[in-house]
Amino acid sequence: MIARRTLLLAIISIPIFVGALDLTVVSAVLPHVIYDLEIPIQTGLDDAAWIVTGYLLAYSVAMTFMGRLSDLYGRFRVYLAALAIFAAGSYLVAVADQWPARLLLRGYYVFGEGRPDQSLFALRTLIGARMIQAFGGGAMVPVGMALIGDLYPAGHRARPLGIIAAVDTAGWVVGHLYGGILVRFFDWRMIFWLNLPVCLIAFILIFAAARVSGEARRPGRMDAWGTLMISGALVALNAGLGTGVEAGAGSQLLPPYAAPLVIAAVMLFAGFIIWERRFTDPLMPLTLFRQRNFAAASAANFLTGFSLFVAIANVPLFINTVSAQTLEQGAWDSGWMLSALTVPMALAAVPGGYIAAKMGYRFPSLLGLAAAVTGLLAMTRWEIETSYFQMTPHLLTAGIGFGILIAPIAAAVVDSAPESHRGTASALVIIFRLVGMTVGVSSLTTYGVHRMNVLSAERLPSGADLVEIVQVGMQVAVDVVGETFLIAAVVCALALAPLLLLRRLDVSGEIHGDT
Amino acid sequence: MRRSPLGWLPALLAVLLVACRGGQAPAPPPEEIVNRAVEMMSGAAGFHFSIDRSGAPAFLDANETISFRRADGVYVAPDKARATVRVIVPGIIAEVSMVAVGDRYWETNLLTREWVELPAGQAFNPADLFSAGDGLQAALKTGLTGLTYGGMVELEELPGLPLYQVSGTLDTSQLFGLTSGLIGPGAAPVQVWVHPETFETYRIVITESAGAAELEPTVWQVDFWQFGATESIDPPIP
Repeated sequence: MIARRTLLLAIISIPIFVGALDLTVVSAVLPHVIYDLEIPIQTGLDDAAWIVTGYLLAYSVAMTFMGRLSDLYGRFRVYLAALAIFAAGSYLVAVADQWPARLLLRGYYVFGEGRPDQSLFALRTLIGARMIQAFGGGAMVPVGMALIGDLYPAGHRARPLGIIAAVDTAGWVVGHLYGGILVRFFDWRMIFWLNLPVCLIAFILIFAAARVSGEARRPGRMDAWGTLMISGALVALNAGLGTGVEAGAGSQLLPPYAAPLVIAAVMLFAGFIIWERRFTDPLMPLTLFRQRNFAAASAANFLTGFSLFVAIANVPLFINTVSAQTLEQGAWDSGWMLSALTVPMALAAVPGGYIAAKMGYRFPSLLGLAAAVTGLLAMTRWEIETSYFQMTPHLLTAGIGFGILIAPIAAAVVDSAPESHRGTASALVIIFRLVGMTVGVSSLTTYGVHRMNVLSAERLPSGADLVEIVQVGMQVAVDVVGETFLIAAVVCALALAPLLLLRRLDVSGEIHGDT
Repeated sequence: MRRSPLGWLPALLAVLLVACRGGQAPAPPPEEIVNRAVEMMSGAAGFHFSIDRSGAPAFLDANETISFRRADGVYVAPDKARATVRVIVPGIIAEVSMVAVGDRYWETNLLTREWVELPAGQAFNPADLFSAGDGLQAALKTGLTGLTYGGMVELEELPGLPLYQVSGTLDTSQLFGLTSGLIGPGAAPVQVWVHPETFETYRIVITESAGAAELEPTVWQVDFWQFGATESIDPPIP
């Protein structure tokens, strides 16, 4: 029985790892994709950012309610459906600029006139395919956790649930390196083609396991309104923060529809909270947030996700702007340089968790926060001449800091939840970090493009030739990357406030004042 | 004796065949198709166009750093045009907007997208390319030889609309000056698709053979639509 459970845990974890891998896999290869699809840098960069943001968004949205759906329709059934959606999305991403884009274009020719830009059709198809893929990938995490929760008896669930959360984190930690290495030798589409055999094997094995185990459905109702409101809030927030600004669009920061979208997001979120308090089978047990540690650690997790993903997105941008001679080299170098951030982060999570267990959450989290902020501040000083050798200690410092920081935060969230809600709490750790990441990348893309416009207009002499344009553009990009690192450092430092609220929780579950 | 109902079938098919053939007039000679298409284009108050380059790159500058990829725009007779030109700078795809009004020409900066007025003749100007007197139309009228009629052909984008297809060889030396050296000089195979009733030109494809340093030919696909469109094109406000 134990061997069977362990085997199933391994089988379920593999697609979750692949889904998480694809969260960051494009960060290193994005310039390659943009160039390959012929997306113009001035008008298309903002749209192209949705290749990343769209995945993060759909992944987070799916995580909020697909676990609950599996309560009602069966874990295996929903997990297999999510896996199939992920595989279908992967296939569509790999062929996005081929038959799906042509199909859309044909539809356009039926109703529209003229010869529209085919590259924008390819980009939109790719974004849509990435969102389908992410929906399946995101759904697998809570459903997988719930499935494991069903297999293990109460009191023995924390370890397997922790393994799934760790597998998810490991996926996005190495995604950029995986992407960078693959693009060095293959076309970027290969990243997505390779998902298909993995998904197929996992599907067959899980299908066989489902036949043996049988399906248990639970009574209850799907919280449709709650699902709609939380999904709508996340979509509106990211659309409001991250769309509509084009390079060279002058000093305008946000388009006119940004504020109404953000207001709509706030209203939907407020509506979600009110609704969840009344609904008998809520998506999110809001009572968890009454726990001081849970609420504080969730807030810190959001802020950490925001600043962490800025670093993950900025490093490839900096390298591709300043040092890479070719797109392949840019992806390769970005992958390896980002490892100086993410591998220490993964490794430092181990002592972070150990110190938290011995000394409480507050000390290691503050230590990690200090290191992460120091690393991010050091990155604000990167210049065109900064070498990889000089960048490495900054990335290492930030990576170690984030690693030490995220372990006690995750532990504080999960430990403060009662046994019956550990699975939900584990999923919420990932959700809050992902939402932070999504908000970070969408808002700072908008800010970055805006600052590019302003600084370019200030610095570029009229009648500049191409050489001057490239030189000014490169310096402006470096300065904007520095500014966004500074914002990331400030946002990360804001986590100090919730972290100071963390209290120690002993093995019995009692809370003590932390030292 | 009762006749089989199928006995009428050959006669019915024959009538249908004659009726169908009778409904479609025979195509005029290819020279006439081209001449009427040129006249139609020259007399149009304006039209929308897209120019798409595939195959070997065509550079816009002497240093061969910026290559032309695509242009979309509108031409208003006799001398106005507005277009967005997509260019490939090493590692980056960028867009440049341009406006031509009479002898004056404006272009946006690659980075800031601010409008800059440039001396006439310094850059690729679609208003010159489609000028009725000495533009593409004149090049087609005088420089196109060896014409053959390829039948009624549908474009992938316009299913259900058969167009005359004419092939020939174009002396692109006239286009060399009109496109700031992007196309030509030399003889290049050309295909033209023309509407059988309105004689509107739907597409021109020019295939330039690969040069010594190139592995593949450069293919120019020029599409036209909305003949008669007259949009207001004014000098941009810097």
